[in-house]
Amino acid sequence: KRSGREDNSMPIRMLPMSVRQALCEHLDSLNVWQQLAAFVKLYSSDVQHIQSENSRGRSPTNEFLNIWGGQYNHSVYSLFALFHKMKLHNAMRLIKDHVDEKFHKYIPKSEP
Amino acid sequence: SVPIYSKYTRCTELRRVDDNDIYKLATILDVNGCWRKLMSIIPKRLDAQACSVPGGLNYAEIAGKVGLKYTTQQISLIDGTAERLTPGQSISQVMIDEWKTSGKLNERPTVGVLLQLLVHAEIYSAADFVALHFLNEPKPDRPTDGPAAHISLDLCSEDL
Repeated sequence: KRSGREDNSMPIRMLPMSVRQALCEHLDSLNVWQQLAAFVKLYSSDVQHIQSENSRGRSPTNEFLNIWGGQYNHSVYSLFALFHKMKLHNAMRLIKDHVDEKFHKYIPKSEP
Repeated sequence: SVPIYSKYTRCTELRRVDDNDIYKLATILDVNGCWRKLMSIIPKRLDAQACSVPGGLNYAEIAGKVGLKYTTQQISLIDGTAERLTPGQSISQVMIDEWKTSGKLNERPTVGVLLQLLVHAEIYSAADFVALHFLNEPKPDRPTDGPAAHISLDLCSEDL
């Protein structure tokens, strides 16, 4: 299996706070957390948890990262690949400094 | 370049694990209430040593036969201690302290049992930590589907 073979990126939970904040602001403004949760097939209990945090005024993207990055221990490379599959190109740009340069070609050159 | 040294074996009882290592594990389990997910799947009366080896814990069989160790009420009791924690104490640590000293001699939980339960509950943050830092083993395999599955970039034709 080739997945993860080239992955030497840091865990999502190690992303610098400034990057994480920019990412949360960007993805919250697009309101895509439900699509992210559906794509990675989060269990409904976790989706409900994000929903309730969201209704209490907390960032749903941050809660998504807490669960998918925290409990499941996914890497920034996997997050980059997830954004690629969901065509979230600006989100890819926000974390590109934390994945190997050879993956930067997956980011489209032009702004969407 | 992989060191041969491992601090514990799969048969090491959790009560023999250094407090500092339990603390590091506990801070991982504090995220998103993962300790609750772990506590709620612990089987009753298990032959801990027999279950410690890789693949030794057949979860479906054990849990189906003997049932679960902790009730919702007992989990709520741990939850209730949250406000009484002193700074630097973690709720997961309270849970592990309860679990590691529970049961008869042959039922005391081991590192191997812990690792297999973490994988069963898909708490890969803690499972990866226990495999690497307690046992010096590779990270456990991931399922190919679901939230724990790896996602990778598709190879383009120019990569081939």
